[in-house]
Amino acid sequence: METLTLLGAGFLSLLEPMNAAMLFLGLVLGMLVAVLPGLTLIMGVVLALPFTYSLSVTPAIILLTAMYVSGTYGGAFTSILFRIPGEPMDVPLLWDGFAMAKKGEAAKALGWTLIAALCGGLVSAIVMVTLAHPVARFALSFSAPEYFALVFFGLTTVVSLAGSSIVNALISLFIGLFIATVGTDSIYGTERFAFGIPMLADGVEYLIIMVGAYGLGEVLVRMEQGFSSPVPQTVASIRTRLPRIGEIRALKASLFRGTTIGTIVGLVPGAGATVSSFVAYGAEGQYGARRAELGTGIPEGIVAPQAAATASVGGAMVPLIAMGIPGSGATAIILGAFLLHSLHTGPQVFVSSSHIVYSIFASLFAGIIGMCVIGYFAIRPLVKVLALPEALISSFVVLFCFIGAFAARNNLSDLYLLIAFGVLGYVFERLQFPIAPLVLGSILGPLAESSFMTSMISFRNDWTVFFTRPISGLLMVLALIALVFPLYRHIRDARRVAQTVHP
Amino acid sequence: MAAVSGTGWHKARKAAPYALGLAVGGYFFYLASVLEFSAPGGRIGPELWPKMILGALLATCIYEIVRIVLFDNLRHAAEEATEPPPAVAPPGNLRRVIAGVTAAIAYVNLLDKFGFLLSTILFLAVFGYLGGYRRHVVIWLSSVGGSVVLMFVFMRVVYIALPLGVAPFSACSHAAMSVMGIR
Repeated sequence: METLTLLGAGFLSLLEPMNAAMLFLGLVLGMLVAVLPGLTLIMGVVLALPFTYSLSVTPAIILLTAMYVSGTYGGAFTSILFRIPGEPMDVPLLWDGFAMAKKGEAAKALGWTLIAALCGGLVSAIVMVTLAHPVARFALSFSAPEYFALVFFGLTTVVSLAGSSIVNALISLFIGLFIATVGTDSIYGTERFAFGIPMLADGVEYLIIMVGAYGLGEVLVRMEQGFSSPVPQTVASIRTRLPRIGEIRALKASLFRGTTIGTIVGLVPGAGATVSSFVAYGAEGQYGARRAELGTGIPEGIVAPQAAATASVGGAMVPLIAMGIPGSGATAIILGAFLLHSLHTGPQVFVSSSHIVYSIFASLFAGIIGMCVIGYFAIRPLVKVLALPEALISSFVVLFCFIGAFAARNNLSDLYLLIAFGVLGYVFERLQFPIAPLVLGSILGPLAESSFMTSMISFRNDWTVFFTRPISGLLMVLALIALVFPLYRHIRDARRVAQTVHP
Repeated sequence: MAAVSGTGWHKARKAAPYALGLAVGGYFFYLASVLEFSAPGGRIGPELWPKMILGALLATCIYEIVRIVLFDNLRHAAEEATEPPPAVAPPGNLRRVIAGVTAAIAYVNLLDKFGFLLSTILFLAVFGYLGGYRRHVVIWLSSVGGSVVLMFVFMRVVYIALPLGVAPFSACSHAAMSVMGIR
């Protein structure tokens, strides 16, 4: 009952002009960012960050969360209509969505996307509201070893879900964790790896790593390719046609599977909308009633990944709010925004700032409905932004990167670091090292180190404490499974490959 | 088996990033080992955490180098036997990237001297040209318009103190500020 009262107050707070304006702005910006192939959802949230500096924490987080949720939906338009995935998470939508469009059913495909995003988003938002407070209450019993184990688990899942090369993901993570150690350490006050440079002695702001590696790095990669995104010719006939109730009922199993997978994957620290979308499409291929027809242009191939992508948002907000652990790349940036506004998420946030938390929860519900309304009525102007010259958009993206990095500390020297991380991001992209582990490592590194050091000092250098306490032990075992399973799969595949060569 | 042989250069190229990681990681591991600090008896010091991370980094790099050197032939052959060749990314233009990075460095250098407005107008225009866009009117209009709008938004709305530059360029920033009503 208390939760419903607080949620009601949260909805009322959305009526405040600033909150409502930021919600609307966030939804539109999120969709624009998702539609434009040169901009990713995470980049968009990063670039919006400097605009939030002068805002108070509630509208700031509402803006970023609205961008996050609508970004999981907007990219579907260009995937289905023009075979241009605005985001990696939209790639599964190409397979059936574009196939439906080719059959002349584009409007229907867009309608299915809307229904999937609405169902997935709302159900996961309900799960978020239901779970967040109990999880936070449970996390109140955590001490340093449990926190270390939780962060360790989060980092290992990032690695295991990172993509084709677990080795590259590990290296990316270690580099991120290492960068977080640069500067003056918090326990002994010792300067580490600063080489006497004042800028480094203060430590490297994770914001600069995020903005550089995601923003500038991505622009450099696209610049190398000559900003060659295909431009669609016609948008005049684009519209959305909603499916009938009977048709939706027939696809309830796919909706359920997608939503469940999205929420659960979102809950896992480190995984996000892209992983959810691919896993849901894979599950549809294995368990769907029409699995044999998947890829030929059937609604199930749209509903499952889209429901999962949007559902991952609610799931990812739970570890972020309740434990201060980001559940995805975008929530890592939202965590950064929380910290910039001196609001520390975690178990205590429900005690100290519950009104802010429930305003954010309410904004997620309103945002999901709002994005569907905007998507339904404004699809044509949204898609028209694809005609903007990518070179010009990219120049503004770089500029926003600079302003964001500069505004964090009002320090021009930080911009050189930004360029360095931009080049690192570019090199990572070219060598196929994932960037997400680098960024999450740099954000979670200080928390991992402080909880590790505190544990070791409190328990007299006894490292077994991480395994002997029940909660931390369970988390460490889960973390090891998350690390070992992909390694096992890697070795098994290598053996299979060897047998193919030498049968 | 012809595809399998002659892979020395291919292996060296593949292993190069990990060798670089090994060298840089090893150097920082050494730096961590010689860190000066005073910890009460028996307590772990501030060097332990970075050493653990760097140790893991070194081990991962070594694993990958060994895997490439010893087992990559087998893998390469198997991939050729079982899978179609992977889609090769279109050849990129590295010079464009270098030019982009140079423009970014020049922009940061100019910010202090020219101020935000002038250096941003120049940067946006140069970056547009480097990106291959050639409609001069659009480039210059968007550069000037975008710079003015952003200066207004960030200085007047978001309250960020953007660099104004040094004389005589600062006069331009001050003139723009007075037109925008920024004090």
